[in-house]
Amino acid sequence: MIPKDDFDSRLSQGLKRWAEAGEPTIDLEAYVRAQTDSPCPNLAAEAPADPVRRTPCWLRRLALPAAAVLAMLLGVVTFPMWAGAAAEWPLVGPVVTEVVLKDAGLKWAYENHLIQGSLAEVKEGDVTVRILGVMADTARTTLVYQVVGLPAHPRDGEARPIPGPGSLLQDPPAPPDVGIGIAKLGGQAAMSWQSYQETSVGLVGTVSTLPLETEKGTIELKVRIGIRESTLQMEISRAEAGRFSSEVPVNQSQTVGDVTITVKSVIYTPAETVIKYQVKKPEYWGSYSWQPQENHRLECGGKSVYPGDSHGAGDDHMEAFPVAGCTPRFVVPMVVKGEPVHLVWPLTEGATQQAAGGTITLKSWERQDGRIAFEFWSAGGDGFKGMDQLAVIDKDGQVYRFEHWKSESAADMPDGTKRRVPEFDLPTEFMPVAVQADRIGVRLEGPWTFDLPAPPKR
Amino acid sequence: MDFFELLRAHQGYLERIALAMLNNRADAEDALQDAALAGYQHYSQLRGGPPAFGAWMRRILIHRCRLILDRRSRSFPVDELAAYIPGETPGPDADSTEIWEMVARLADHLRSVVVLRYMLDMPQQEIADALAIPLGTVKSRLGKALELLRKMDAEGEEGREAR
Repeated sequence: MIPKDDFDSRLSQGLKRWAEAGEPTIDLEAYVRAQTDSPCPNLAAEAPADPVRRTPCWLRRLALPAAAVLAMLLGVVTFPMWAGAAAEWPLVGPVVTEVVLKDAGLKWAYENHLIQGSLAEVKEGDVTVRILGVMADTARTTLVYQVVGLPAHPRDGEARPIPGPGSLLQDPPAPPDVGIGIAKLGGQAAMSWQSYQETSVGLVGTVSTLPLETEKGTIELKVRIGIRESTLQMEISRAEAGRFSSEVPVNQSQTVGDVTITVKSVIYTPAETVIKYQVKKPEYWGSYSWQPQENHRLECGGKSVYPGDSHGAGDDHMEAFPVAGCTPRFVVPMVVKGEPVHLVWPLTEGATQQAAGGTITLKSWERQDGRIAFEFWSAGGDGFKGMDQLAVIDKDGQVYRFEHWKSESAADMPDGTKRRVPEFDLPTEFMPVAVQADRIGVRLEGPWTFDLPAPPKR
Repeated sequence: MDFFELLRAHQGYLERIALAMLNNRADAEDALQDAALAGYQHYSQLRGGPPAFGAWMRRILIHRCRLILDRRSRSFPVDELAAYIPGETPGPDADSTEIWEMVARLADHLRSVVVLRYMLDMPQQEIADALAIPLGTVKSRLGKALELLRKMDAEGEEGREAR
């Protein structure tokens, strides 16, 4: 092995040589010119005499009705009455806007002052949940929120109890004791999905649901702080942001094997292309994969773009892709479907079972304080995509089924070997002698390919 | 001096930085396009003239890469090693190619600190600022990444000796 200092030097020099060997592979100039109508001030040019009247470069990229464009050039704001609400966000600045700007659709809406202001808030003791804004268009309804006053808990990289060397058991930071969900939209029960991150101004995140079916409607939020739950209702409209996007019916179905995928519609927005589709097959598992070439994509002009966000409710799925740049084709390379099995490994390191043409080995397992984790390695059998419905068995044949997965870490090796480490809660009094799996995910090769209709011309 | 002239001169290197940070060609193209557009729009704000262009564009690009990485980390489980398809982006020699293929196998949160530290010589505090993570996290991730890289290097060395 190369000594430590020499390795660091070899690493640095090797990476630099690799980077310096790069040659351009895409036409960035063409892309930039296509996004801008006319040259922006360059390094040699003088600043314009009256900067207030200069139209910022980003505005020129919008495809807006002529009257609105003229109004902006004259310095007249013609946005709806809640326009400028984003500027009212407390602590608006790089922290909050960076959370918002990670989402292409929200980024566009924020830059175009189309996030409706709210500032509704719920307080419980020292904790405040503040709804900063709402973005509603043809593709989604998203709220941006902030939570301040939560007690500190360990963050990534900071000191916290460390599992023993080589331990399989994870110690993630405790989740915040606050919950936000969209209970109803337009009077109908709604499912919602969310993401958040810790920032220097508290938790900042988004919670989203499907789009309003009418132009205006009521959204009902449930906010839980500790054990107390409150309800917030707000009137929202998708009229303004929605006029920049179009939903085009597709209604195409394809069947490969026994899986039918139906693309119901495509929604074109200034920042994203959203595909609404259904998958009809009992035991559909999902189709996210660690291998990029197995993931859904839009193909356009010889290039592929991959989804930034996807979510589902029942059989319906929505995936948001970056704008493809031309009328795209939606490609699903493969899906994973669940198949019933009955695989049992005695809790002996190295125990093996055969499934989906490969071998699944129980490499190790670990138990501590009401938790148990298993390390499975699978080799061979490209079709094997995971296991589900795990349980443990004691010496009397009693079965304890794991209803919820505490966590799972996963790694796919370049040689195709897959390592999975699921972790579960297990009562201390249950003494397992074996672990079983009653369902595996198996790859079904496609592709399912859909040529999408073009967006309507404005 | 024209923006596009400078961009062309630095583009190959910028493409490799984006690919190193994101390990995904489509995401790297998105980051490059966003960065190029942002650079074009804010070119008048560049101080220091053409000699400062490279470092300035790198900062813009790294910021765009971080936004993509942050979004990715919320969607997908995080592990220390990722799937990687070798042979797609070789270096000028076998050693640099081998180094890159080891680094490419690191998961996003480890690979990004290695790229910024060892490819771009950024000080640890600057890495912390660029990735919006604590300095302690930078240090722990670098330590973990180097441990994995040395292990991969040792396994590779055994393979070479066996041959």
